Amino acid sequence: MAEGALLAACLAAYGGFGLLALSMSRHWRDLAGSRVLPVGRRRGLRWAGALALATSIALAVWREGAGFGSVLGVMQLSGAAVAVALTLSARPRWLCALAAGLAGRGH
Amino acid sequence: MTARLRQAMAGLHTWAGVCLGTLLFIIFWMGSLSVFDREIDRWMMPATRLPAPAATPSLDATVVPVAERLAAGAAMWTVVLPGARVPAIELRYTDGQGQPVRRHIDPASGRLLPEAGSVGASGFFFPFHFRLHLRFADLGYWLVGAAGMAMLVLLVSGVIVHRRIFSDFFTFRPTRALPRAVLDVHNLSGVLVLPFHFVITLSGLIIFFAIYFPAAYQVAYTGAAGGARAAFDQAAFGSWQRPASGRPGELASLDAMLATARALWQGREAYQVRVRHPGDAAAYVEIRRSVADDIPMNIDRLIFDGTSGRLLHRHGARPVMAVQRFIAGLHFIQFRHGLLRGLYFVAGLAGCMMIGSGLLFWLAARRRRGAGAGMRLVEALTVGGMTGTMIATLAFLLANRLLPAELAGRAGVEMQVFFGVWVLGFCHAALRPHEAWRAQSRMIGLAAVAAVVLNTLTTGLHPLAAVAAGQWAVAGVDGVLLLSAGLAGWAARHGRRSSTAAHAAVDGGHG
Repeated sequence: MAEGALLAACLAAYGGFGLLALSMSRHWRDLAGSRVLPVGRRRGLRWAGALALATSIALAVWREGAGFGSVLGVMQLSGAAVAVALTLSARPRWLCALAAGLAGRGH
Repeated sequence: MTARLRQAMAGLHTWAGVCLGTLLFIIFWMGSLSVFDREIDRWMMPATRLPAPAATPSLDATVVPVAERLAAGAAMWTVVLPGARVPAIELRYTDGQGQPVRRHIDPASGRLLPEAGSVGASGFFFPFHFRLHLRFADLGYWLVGAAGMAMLVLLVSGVIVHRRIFSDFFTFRPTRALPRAVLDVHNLSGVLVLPFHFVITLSGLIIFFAIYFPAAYQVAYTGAAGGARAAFDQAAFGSWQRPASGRPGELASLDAMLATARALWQGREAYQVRVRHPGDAAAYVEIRRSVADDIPMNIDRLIFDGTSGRLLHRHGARPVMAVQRFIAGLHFIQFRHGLLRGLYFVAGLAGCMMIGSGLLFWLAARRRRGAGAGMRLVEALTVGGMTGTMIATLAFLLANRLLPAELAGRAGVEMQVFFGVWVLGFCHAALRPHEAWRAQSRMIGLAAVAAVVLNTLTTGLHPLAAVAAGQWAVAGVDGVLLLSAGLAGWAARHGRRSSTAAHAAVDGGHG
């Protein structure tokens, strides 16, 4: 349960930054293949991404307490952001699946 | 943000980075190593690779007889109680020649372990991190402080200079040409890990506020008896003292004092016991509370009368110091949290990467305009400061495994090996600029593998055996060594491509 919460926090941070990356037209174009990112979709992705990041911090604080949890939460965000950047550069297909799912639902 | 501001900040960022980048890299490198200093200590001091202690040992039975024999005549001796990271009891004192001595005692048997013949990572990398081993006139502290201030300037100016901080947030294009790819690394490791870089630099400066900003206490404690610093230390840190009486006295039970301390601290453990004026009737004992439980590095301490065991003084941080101790705790990470420790290590290395890639970017961009004397100097300092520092670090570990145990002044020789190899690294970088990067990367790979092999040969504990034996410190150090060997090998191969390309561009420019 304890490790589960921290793992979930890591995944939420990674997913959150993944969504935020998708909300940027450059990465959306590369990943989803469709040219334009509708304004509504962009806003949705940003909110969902921000919510996931907040969830990540909340999970860390809930599991580790305010002191350790907030430090861990921030460090985790850095790690997740680097992971998303490396994914976009080396294995963009991993985020493609996420993008395709979102794009598919939009049409 | 106006273009003029950005231009001014770009100049500042370049100058501060080029002048202090190498020093900052060394500080970040030593700091990253210090995150795992106790674990590296276990690797370097094989006799202390003991199982984690089951129960608190009796100090009266195990330590006091040893301390009274070894530290006879010393003005004080200090016991660091065993814990998860240091399984042996540490006894520290100053010998007759005024040299600090650190001995270890097996908490289970009370046996005095043989001399380590090494100051270890906690005695070398850690002081290196904050005072560069330059003790004269606090020069090391001031250099590190200047570099820390420069780091804050670099972080802020770097954010201002960055043209597309949000649209390039996740951008990493390793296949692009050298300056572009290196700039991506610089931006990624800088921007994404910025919270850590900023907090670690600022907290590092705040830890030594009494050195960097002495007016802070001098104003408040002007005219205090015994000087402002002493009065401040007493009020803030609870330092307590009394002179020796000159009459002999018998030391009361330390175990009883520890039990009292535990009760006063609601069951929280102590981590250090210091006996001042041992053997004197005016002896007193200072017990400090463990800092392993929480982020703030508490300064809770109790002073007991050495002969009667009576509590003389009790200290805890007051509000302003509590804030300082929280910030210090964020920096020192002495708390028990393996995951955060690992993240700090990686983030510290990301800082090294940010500083190194910044210097490499400047060199790559500059090289296109032809190589001048200034550029050659920065190139030699960069390569010597980066790969050279890593080789010297590995040479320190190799010397630790190769020097005979009975060698006189062994710990000092280990350090001399570090500095000797370091100087050679800078010289090599200056004399052979075209191949130094690649050759030194290859050297890092070889030395890292050699360190693992030597540890196996001299202690019989290969990495897998260390895992099986639950010696996670040793297994971890070996694992990181092997990982860095792999990375160094990759860098040596990759570096060949980029440096030949860059030098070809220079030669083409000249031709």
